[in-house]
Amino acid sequence: MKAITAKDVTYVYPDGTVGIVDATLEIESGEKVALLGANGSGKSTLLLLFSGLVKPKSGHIEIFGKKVDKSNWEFFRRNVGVLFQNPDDFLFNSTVREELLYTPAQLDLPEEEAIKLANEYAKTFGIEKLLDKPPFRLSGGEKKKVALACVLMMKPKLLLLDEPTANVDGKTRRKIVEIINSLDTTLVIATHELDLVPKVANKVVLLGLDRRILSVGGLELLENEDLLEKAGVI
Amino acid sequence: MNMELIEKTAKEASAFFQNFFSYEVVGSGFLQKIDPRIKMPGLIALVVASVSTFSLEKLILLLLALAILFASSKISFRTYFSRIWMIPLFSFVIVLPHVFFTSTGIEYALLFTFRVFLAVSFLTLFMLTTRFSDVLYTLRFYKLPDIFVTILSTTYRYIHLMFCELYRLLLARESRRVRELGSREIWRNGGKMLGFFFIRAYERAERVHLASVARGYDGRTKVYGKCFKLTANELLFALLICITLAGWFNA
Repeated sequence: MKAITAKDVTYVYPDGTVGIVDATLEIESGEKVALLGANGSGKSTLLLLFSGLVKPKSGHIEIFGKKVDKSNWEFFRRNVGVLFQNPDDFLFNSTVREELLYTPAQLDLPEEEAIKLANEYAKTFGIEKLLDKPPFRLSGGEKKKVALACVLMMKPKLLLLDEPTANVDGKTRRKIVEIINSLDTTLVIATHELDLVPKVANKVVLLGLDRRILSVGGLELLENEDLLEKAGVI
Repeated sequence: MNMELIEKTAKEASAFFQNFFSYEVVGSGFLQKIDPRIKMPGLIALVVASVSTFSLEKLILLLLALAILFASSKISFRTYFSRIWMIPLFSFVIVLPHVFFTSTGIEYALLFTFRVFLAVSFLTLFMLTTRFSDVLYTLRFYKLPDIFVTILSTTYRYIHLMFCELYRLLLARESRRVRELGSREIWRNGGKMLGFFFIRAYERAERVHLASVARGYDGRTKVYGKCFKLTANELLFALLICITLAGWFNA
């Protein structure tokens, strides 16, 4: 089954900035895909489009066969998990515990189940001691872990991660990579870190500086220095 | 006028409010254990009592209740004082002209400040001992209009971000200043910075909104119904409030 089908997708931000141009892409269920590109190449925009949070200006997107539409809002929120690049945008509750319980409450998950899940994921991410702390008092790495735990808790069928290992120390990075690798969900990860790609993905989508998809392929794309240079990645 | 002082004040104020609005529940004392459905009306009654009188006896009685509640909540004096000092001081400055125009001016100014101090203190006690989600739950329990609760939760979410953003901007501005600026230049740059601040705050708010929608927000912040229980603590608290209010009416 196709997890993502995007055809001739163009997105322009309200201020007129072009986000992505004519993107056509298919991602199968269970695939681990890295969106690789320089800063401003449209990686985050593509993730936003795949999450159903914004609608393309032109073109067509389907996630698990469902259009980005108000009527499919609940389907998207239950099945698509998005991690934003800046965890400060993502965490807005008064304690880490409330962060973990936010989405389950919004989606009317029974309280007992939500608490059980929150404790389980707090343990997995090693954030049990932070549960009663306000998120804004955490370090950058801790914020990333909390944000990722919030997303993974809902066991999304499609996971969209925007630079999950940016601005974190080596230990936290290893932990995040380890957790990402343990998932059997469809994964799309936006990054400009070349060394991260083979660790988490088996397919590469290379975005060019003109905000168009430059190439799609396997990990062998990482060997093509000319192409990577053209994309501004190296 | 010392322009650096204005900038420094803006920076300090943004740092102060950044922490003021994003509090965390501290300690594990008596008040922290009280069911917020009992605690909220109890402390609001004391706030109303504080601002409804100029009688020194009544205010001293309320101060006694405050002292008992403060001691039993095991909050450090430093944490507590750092949150309350500014507002009574500000109110004293506001009411200061009375001292010069009326014969009982000084008495009025002191009593006014005392009242403000008590009201702010009770509210601060409530804030420092009650999680924000419990506050929302309690407001919903008392059937306050949903739009009011939603506005409150949204304001809480954004106000901290706004002061964070302002603080960062002021720090960035300070770090890039290599020479002393003239007054005109400072005002001009300040205006530019203010405009920039609004744009950044707006963009940040957009991103936070998108993130909350991604996490299931549909225009209404839902919280789990708390399993609060009425125990001896709640009875003791209610008794303290009743005794204080009875004393207040009879004083």
